[in-house]
Amino acid sequence: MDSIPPWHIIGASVTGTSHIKQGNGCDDTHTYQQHSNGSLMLAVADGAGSARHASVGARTAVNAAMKALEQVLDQQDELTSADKWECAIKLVLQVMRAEMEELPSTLQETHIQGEQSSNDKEAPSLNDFATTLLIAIVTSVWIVAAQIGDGAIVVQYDNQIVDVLTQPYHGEYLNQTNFVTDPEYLQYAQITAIQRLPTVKGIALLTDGLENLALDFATKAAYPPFFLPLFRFAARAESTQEELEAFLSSERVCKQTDDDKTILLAVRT
Amino acid sequence: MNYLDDVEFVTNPDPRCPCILLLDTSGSMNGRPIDALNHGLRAFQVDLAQDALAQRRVEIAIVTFGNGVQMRQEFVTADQFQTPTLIASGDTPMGQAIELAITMLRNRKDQYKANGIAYYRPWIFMITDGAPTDQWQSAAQSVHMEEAAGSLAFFAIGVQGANMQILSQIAVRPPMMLQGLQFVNLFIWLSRSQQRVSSGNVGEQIALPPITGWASL
Repeated sequence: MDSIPPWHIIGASVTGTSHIKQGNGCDDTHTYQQHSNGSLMLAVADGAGSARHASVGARTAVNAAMKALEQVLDQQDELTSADKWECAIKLVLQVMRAEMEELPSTLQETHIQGEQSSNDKEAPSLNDFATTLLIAIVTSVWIVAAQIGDGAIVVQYDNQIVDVLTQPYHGEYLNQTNFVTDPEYLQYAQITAIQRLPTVKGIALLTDGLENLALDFATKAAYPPFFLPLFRFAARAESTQEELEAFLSSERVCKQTDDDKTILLAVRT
Repeated sequence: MNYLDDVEFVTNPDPRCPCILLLDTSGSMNGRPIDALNHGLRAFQVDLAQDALAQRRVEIAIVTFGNGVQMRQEFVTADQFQTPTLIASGDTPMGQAIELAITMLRNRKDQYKANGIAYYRPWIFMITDGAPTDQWQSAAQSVHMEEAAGSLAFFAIGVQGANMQILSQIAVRPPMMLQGLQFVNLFIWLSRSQQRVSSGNVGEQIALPPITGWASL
């Protein structure tokens, strides 16, 4: 197997101004991990604003997906075609979903044991944990991206071109999307597996809070002046997560979007 | 140097939140009711002006019924909206007015789609103090079909004298009764509701402000 060059990975999730105004926390989350075989796993999720336990849902979705992805990567040499990757990713999503389905009863037990006086009197249902999920894998041969809901996964090539791997899904209305908790969640999954061109330099996963700044709505294309400086930032060894958080919380960004926002960047060095 | 300072943003068109006011201007509204309605419309314009986002996103159109059906105002964003002074006369062709409003919304959505503009679920907000004098059953059926398809949200407000029984057959949502002539409070509520809808993020079900202060169910 080819060796994988090291990656610089940097990500940030910050609370949107509308969530701060309503006294809510950040329902976005992100995580990443490098497999022992050198492959890279990335995940971000955006808990639905309308769901009572959105942040628990988002965290569970990314953590469950990472665990399942790790097992897939243990056998990555067998995944020799895009079709095989698609099957493997569907399995990851099913494992993730099974873990999500445990959440309502787990949460209720915790409440009973802790005898917490909760103002949420109703028993939690799966929909109370609604979240989007975006995951990506980078191996020496493949880039695989999968997404349920909105947000986007974008790659950068050496020649400064940026390209969308998976796109935001919106229903007819801007404030509608799909969630991993929906009954037909697997049908909504966009899965893209491409043989990694030697020229792929970076990958970015972002939640919908940044869509309006990063993607052209009419053409659905990634906006290079948004992504290229971010990729340059991520490639720099001394860049910090705090700097990225400060950028996402800056007035310049918050003037354009009041939602929670996450970006997770990985760049080959 | 800090690369983050170099990050530039796409200029996407603002998403739109269309709202049609369907207003009864029949003869029975003459006098204090029509004055109060005009006053309420001005409060609507003023209240929307306080929200910069809503100013760019909320789109208002006005259809009146009374002495025929008229489109008094084509869709304009709130910052372009000028309140008309309505005059009351004639009968109450409510059915025809509803059909016109539904057609206007369909056309507006087509325009949004053609221009790559994202949008929120449109509202039709009907106010009446009477009962339809035209054939309203097919309009009622259209409202039910559009609501079932999620194409729009139809709100019916009765002013004293309104036939609430017919309104409840037209609207899927329970019609609301205006207390006295509290049009100003009603329109401030509508403005605040549209502000909430138009700032809604993905997957957020909007909780509307309480209707206390102007209406009862």
